[in-house]
Amino acid sequence: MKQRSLFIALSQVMIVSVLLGACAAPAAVPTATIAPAPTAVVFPTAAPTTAPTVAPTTAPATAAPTTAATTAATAAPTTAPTTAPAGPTKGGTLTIVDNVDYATMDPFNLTWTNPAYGLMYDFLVVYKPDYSGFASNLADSWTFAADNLSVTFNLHPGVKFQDGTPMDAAAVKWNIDRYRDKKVASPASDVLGGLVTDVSTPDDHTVVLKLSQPSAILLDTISGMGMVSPTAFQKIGADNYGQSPVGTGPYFIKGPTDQVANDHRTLTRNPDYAWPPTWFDNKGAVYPDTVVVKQLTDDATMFSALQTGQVQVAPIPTQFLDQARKDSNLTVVQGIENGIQYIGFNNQAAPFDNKNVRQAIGYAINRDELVKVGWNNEADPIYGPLSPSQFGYSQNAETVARKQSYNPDTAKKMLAAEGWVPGSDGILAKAGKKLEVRFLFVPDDPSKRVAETIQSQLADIGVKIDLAPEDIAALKDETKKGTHQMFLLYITLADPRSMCFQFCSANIGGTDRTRFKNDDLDKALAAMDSELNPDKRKALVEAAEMIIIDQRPEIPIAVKHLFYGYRKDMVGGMKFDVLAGAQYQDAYLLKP
Amino acid sequence: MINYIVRRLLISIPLVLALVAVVFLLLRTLVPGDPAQVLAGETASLERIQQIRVHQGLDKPLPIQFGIFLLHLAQGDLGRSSISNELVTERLWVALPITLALTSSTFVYIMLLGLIIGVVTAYWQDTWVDNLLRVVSVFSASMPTFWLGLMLMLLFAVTLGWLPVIGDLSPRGLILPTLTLGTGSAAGLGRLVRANMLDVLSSDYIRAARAKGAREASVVLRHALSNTLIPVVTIAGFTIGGLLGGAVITESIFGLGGLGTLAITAIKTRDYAVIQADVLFICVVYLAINLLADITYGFVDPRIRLQ
Repeated sequence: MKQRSLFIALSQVMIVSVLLGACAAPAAVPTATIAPAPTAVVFPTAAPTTAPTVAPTTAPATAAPTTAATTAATAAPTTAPTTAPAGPTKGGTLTIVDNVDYATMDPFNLTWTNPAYGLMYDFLVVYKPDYSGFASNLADSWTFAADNLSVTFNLHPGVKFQDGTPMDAAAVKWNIDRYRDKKVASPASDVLGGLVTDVSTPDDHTVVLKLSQPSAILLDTISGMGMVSPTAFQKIGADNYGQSPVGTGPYFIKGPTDQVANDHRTLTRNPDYAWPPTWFDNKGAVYPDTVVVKQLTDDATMFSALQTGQVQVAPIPTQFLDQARKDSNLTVVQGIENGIQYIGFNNQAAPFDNKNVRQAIGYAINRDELVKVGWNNEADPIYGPLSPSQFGYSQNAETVARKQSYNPDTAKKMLAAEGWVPGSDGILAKAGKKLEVRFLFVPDDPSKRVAETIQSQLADIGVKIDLAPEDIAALKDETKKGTHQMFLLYITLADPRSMCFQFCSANIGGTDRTRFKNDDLDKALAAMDSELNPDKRKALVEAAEMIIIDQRPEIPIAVKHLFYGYRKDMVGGMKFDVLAGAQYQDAYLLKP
Repeated sequence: MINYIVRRLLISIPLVLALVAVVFLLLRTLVPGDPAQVLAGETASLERIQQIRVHQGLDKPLPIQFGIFLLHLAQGDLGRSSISNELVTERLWVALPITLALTSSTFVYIMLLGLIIGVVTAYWQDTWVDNLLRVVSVFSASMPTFWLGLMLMLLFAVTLGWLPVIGDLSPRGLILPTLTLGTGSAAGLGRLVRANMLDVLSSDYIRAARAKGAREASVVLRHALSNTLIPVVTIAGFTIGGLLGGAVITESIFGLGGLGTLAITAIKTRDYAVIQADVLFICVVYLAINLLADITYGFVDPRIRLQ
């Protein structure tokens, strides 16, 4: 009896201790929707034959969202709506995800952007959702001079910063002067520093930039420069501005307590907002009262939070794609990467200082297998240096590049011609030295599988690959110093100057991780950057692509598909760009 | 007692300084990765990277960098995060309550569950209860934290919908992170308590207590359990230190922005100031807890006097 009473007493204590918190009301289980199932608007991929990077001289037209409403959403609602769609509802808290590492909201010190950045800042110009060119945001229009040595921005009237001060020409001048100041070392200073020689303000709504040379990359740079309130910046000071940022965007951050590093940011609706890009239906203030940007870097957690409705909009990691597509509460949107995944060589070190060896490796790579094993077929094989979503992507260049597709016999012959013959262990050797290569990669998903598959494919032609997993900072450090041989990496950029970051000889020791040096390519890429005529620029891009395809300083392998998902039973009005980037101006909560 | 505490505190100072020096040097000599490159971004020019390096003082010789760091440390200035530009002390103060809440709830959970498992399995030695709990304990102690966290999340949050996926500081928001972080340690503690309880329960004074007619619950919980607490106090000190380390994975799984997440993000981005401050802080907490554990011995067992 005594034993029984003791057992009961202990059991009670244990139950209480374990379930102490569970006595609170259980979480609301998301219920099946009977509300209208709103469809996402996904803008179609732009035809790369249009003229994207040269600014129109008048306010640009934009993609028509209504025509694209049902074409590109990848998951169709499983049940038809039983009631007519209601209009957007105001209020509530929308919770979205930031799945990259926490970074500052100070655009002059920005290392990488995050969803909150796009919600609280506006830009003079922005990329169109189909990335076919630029659209107006804070500048209604812009005009290049006939000699392309100046550009005039006509600002949208009546725009105010979130602190109530006017976003006028003087404010824009202050911003551009700070962005181009090399002492500040903002990310934009690399381009603007030597390019913009003067900023003048003929009147309150006009800003003129004088340029040292014609530039096709100016607008691309400007499209990433959030406009900061000069008054707020000077009041808060450069050191602390990131904690209390002030922009002109649809949401604002009340103060430092709304930003909990590595945890979340809370953004509040800007009631005065009335200057969104033209493709949005909502021309005024956004509908939700607040947006919480939750920092979630674990894929499983992020997807589980979306499944349970704790967050309503989030990227979909590829490994959860099947589950997401089967989930009747989720709409999955597919986009395409603005760049490529590639195998890079150190072109200044043996054995890859030999073009034939590089090409031979290219012949040994079975991209279809990599796409299947690495990305579960959620990527497209690529042979040339540009993604189809980048300006200047040339089908002609891609066709030429495809001539170097998988052919292990050719690879073996080319290596044999260079003196590499199989040893007794099957590994190729030349003058007593084995063809053994250290292969750097970041051991995340799916890079690890891709690297292992490449190891296997190259073993088939007698190349021994020693896998060298490194974290991204270490990999970049080693490739910058030039002590590497071969690496697996990616590059993403809307503009084709991604090729210059990868291969311009001026960037050796920096972003030119391939340490590739070719005078013809340098000239082609420099000409490409200063050519504003779209057709001429496209020809220069193709010329550069052809040199790269011929020289093979890298082996492009795939263009990833990108996926975003949202709870269609909780959120309406979602729009996405061609990269599957979520746009929130029209978003509203179905049950705020 | 006072002398003992003062002496321990004085001994801690060179220990902390040595640790700080080791972390400082390891980061800059053995850990690859350039903070200026990370901060400048993927497309930065060499000129801008160098400018950032100068601005951050990373271009100076190591001894000078260390001297500057010590000088600032002496003034209570831990520097600014190179990534977010926030004062590191502010970052720590923001992250601290989150980790404190998680480790506190987990500590309570470990102590309660560990003691209960230990007492039950010892009292009902070699019965089905003992066998079952021992098997469960071994299983629990063997489970990797990340796996347990994901399984708990899948069951209680995704499938049953009882608890939130994303942790927070509310009681409901802390349950899954607490179970994830504490279950392995609780199982380990349970096995330790069991072994001690078995020794104590066979002691003469326990037989004497029973002979005097003491209630069984009183015999076990007051007479026997209190004499197993000395090793428990020792383990408790280490457990808290372990929790601070283990919280890295748990915080990451449940999206909690505590010291663990702060550390792992800082390491990924080579945010030297934050890494140094995080390590320094955890070191100080660890030392303080161990000192507290030593002091607690005296209260748990009056026969022990600290000298």
